[in-house]
Amino acid sequence: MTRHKLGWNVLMAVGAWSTPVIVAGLFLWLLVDVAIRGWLAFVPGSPDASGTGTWLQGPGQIVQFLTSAPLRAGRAGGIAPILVSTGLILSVCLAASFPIGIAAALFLSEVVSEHHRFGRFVRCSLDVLAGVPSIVFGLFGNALFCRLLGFRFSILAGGLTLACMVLPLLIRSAEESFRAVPISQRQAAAALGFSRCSTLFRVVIPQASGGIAVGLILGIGRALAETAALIFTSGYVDRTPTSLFDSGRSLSIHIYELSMNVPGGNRNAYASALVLIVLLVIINALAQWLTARFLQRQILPI
Amino acid sequence: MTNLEPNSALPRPAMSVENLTIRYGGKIALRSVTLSFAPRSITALIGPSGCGKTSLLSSLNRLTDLIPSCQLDGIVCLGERNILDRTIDVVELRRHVGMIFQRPNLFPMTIRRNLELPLREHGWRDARKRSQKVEQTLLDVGLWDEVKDRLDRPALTLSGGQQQRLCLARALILDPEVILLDEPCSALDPISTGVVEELLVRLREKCTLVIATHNLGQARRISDRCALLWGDADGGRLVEEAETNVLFDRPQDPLTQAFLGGQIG
Repeated sequence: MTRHKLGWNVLMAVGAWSTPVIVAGLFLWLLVDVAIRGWLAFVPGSPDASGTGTWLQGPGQIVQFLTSAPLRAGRAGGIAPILVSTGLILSVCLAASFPIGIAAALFLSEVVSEHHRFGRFVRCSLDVLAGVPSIVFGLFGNALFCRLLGFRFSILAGGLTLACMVLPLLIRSAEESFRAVPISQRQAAAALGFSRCSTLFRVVIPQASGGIAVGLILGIGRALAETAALIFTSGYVDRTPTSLFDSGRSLSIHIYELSMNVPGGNRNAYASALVLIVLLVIINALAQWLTARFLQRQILPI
Repeated sequence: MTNLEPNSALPRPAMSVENLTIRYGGKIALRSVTLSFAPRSITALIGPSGCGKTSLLSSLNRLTDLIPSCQLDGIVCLGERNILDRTIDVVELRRHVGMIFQRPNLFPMTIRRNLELPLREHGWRDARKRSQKVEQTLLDVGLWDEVKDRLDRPALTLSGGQQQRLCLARALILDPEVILLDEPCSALDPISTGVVEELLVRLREKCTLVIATHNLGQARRISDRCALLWGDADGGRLVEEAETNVLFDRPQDPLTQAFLGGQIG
């Protein structure tokens, strides 16, 4: 090998290795930073914790943080009502987006052919929608759900806006997983005299469900992390909502509020961020575990 | 075959095609083929790739319906009924005419579920009867001893030959009158091929088999009658059809002579 070639190879290797290292490093930095600062919020006597409130001192602060209401605009106290609102918003979002998403994906993959003009148009608009900034979805949700439909600032309006945002993601990934079911499986079902409907429900959907679950998790992740779309739709009242028509503050809005608009709220903002990240990690792990289990049961490699 | 004279009082064919032309979006794949398949016999369709064997097979259970651009003209009869008729229930048709494909296409489920799914689909509600039928069918294809202890394991853990036999069992479980086989052994090793061939010969007692094959030896070993299809630039056509021995020993058409002699194809 010539010197010239050797140098080139080394350069390539360095390039190939450094990018993932940088990406992983950035992720770890963020994670460690939030984890340390969030954790410090729970430790009595640490510089961050001194002088603010007495709620988070002593043992069991974490449990208390998760189960009590915020005090003094969130500087002290916990995040229980915020967790409830987040859960409700997420439930509304999923209840609306899941059935619509699956139905639309089935239409795109099973009813119209891949090159059909209408299918291409729908797919193209979904891709555009997926790239629309969330603040635009927020304004749209505000105009449609809050004003036009008269839901005002409510968990329902917030959840539905999130559903609009998550839909493109969900539809595209579900469509891909339906398409990924090999034609030979459909042939097998057809040759055994399965009707179109049972081919769908007994062969295609079960085999696509791993991919659908992944899309769903991505959607939940995006919804959970969403701030901008919710500011204009679900509002930021921080008490426990009594109905879906009540306004409620989601976890990410809580973090935004504390860090931007509440002086001295940084400590609890970090604590909430830690909770959010842990939630996301748990959901991701759950998805991976479910998919792996599902694949093991369904499609075992030879 | 018991008939010494090929033309004397043949039993009414299980299936027949008459002047069948198959087009894909205007392009002709098979041009006016007339053929009949005697009950309880094996008919082999031979010929080079692209001569329309698969198209002909899949027209017999209307699997061609899955291809939107495909158009069938002519008559295809199952018994007396023309199955190209719009009023035919294809679901019912495919219960009577089963099909095996080139590669095993089991569902990614357990062995038992693979066999029970078609039964359920066709209205077998009684779980006990279903499992009896599963056992019986597995015995019929000679798989029972190999899989009886692992019925609830994924079907895709079986070997290729076993998978193909399980596909056969899955088709047989509906008691079809006709079974179409599209090069069923092309993905199998010689030993598995032998096992499958033995099975096919035994199945002849129960139903009519139509097999498309690239393997001339296989056609000669197992088939009663044999048809050579040939693909030209303007679509495939039927060159010659006869009893297998006759076709192999005294081919009439020069194309058949050349193909069987190995000069072309």
